[in-house]
Amino acid sequence: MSVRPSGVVLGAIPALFLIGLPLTGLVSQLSWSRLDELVGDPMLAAALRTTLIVVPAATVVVVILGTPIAWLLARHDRPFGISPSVLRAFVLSPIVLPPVVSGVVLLSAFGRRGLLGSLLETFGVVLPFSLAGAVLAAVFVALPFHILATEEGFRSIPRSQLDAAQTLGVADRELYRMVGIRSARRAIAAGAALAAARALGEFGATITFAGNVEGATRTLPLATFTALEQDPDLARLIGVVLIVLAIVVAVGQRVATR
Amino acid sequence: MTHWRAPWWLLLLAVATGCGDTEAPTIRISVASSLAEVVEQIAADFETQSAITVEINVASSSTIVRQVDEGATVDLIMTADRIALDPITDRISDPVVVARNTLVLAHRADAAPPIDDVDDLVEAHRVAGCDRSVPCGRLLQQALSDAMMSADLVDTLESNVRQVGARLTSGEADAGFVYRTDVERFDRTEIRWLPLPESPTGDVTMAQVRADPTVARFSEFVLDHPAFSTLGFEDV
Repeated sequence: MSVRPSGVVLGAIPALFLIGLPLTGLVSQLSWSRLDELVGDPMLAAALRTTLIVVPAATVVVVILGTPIAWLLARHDRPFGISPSVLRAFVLSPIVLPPVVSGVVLLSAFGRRGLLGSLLETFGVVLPFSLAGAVLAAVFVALPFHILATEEGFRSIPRSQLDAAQTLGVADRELYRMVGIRSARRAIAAGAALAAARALGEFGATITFAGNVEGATRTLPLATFTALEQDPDLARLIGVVLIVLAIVVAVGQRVATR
Repeated sequence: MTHWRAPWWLLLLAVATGCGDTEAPTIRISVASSLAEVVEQIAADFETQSAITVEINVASSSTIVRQVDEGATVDLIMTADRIALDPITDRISDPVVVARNTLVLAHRADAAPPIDDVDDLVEAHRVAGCDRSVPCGRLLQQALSDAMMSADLVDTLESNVRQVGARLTSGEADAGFVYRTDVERFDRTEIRWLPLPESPTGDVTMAQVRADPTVARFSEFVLDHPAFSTLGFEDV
């Protein structure tokens, strides 16, 4: 049964307009006559390659690092001896930090003069201006999104299922591996997709921490920013490429969590 | 069923604040990042003398030019080189070179291997410079070809010269190509500088976007003001 259009429908239109108009504007201002030339631009190719390395790499790292924390938050009364809500606020803090501040805090830890950076440099590891640095910046900002989604997944595992396993004498570590991850795999995939989406759009922390190095840290968002200075047509095309990739991530999430 | 309506007084308040105060004369100027301090100094002097407010918008030369091209309400524009104004030649009047600024190689005193000469710059150094889309980047390209150095020496390409300075002061970069006037702001014990072969130089150019007596008065004031010389720019 279909519902008659109501005031709510009217109320939803401004939001659609607000999101739709800029996107339509971007596509409408694409320079079709220069498309052949722009598609072959070396800056676009290099940035696409960088993004296609940084985003999957960051997503894998996020899933590896974020899943155990999500389990602790969902299932433990006092992880690390502190209240889960304090721990949750702590691990989610990068969401509320402006990305450029995330870049500054990363520098203070992993920069050459950062807390750990000078030690890393003695081992020959320098993160700023490197591909690994771009991945680290993306991991930092994307991790909380994965934790949020995955924690929700662990929470929705039926108590009975966990109790049954526990009465069989399964240790927490096994419970996590055999029941937790298996039952929450959809939530983990959803969290991974959210993290990938955030990593794809990451700009501020990357340019602040990792710099704007072609072939290493100049991802598509940084290339858009750089191209805007000299060739706005190219910047718009890169913007469209980013939208296409965002759609790929969104569709991927639908498929993975079905 | 309840409807929410904006209280009538809220609407009245919105209207009242929008057109309430009589506007003081204001001129809006857009300036390149490298000119932030010098223009702030000049504008402050102008404000005390004239009771005209000067609003300053700071970004890279190409950004402020793009803003004008897209219709930003700006009265006067000042870029770090002349070429930056090319996209908006039909929107500006009376472009005039105000001063000149030279690109230099700034480097950390503790850079390893040590840098005592431009030729000491090697791949092992972490080097910051401007992207070729902005004036300091155009001068950098010129400097690299004059010194017959590879463009690969420069790692991170920033969109304005102040970001290059920030990489140096934070210690992330061992060396960076900045303006002679930027060097003045650095701690001399930490960061030193070397002149570049052929001394690539940018013409700081000012142009009116809105022809108006007040704007003309300000641009006259800029041309007569000593701040450019005292802050290390070269006279025209």
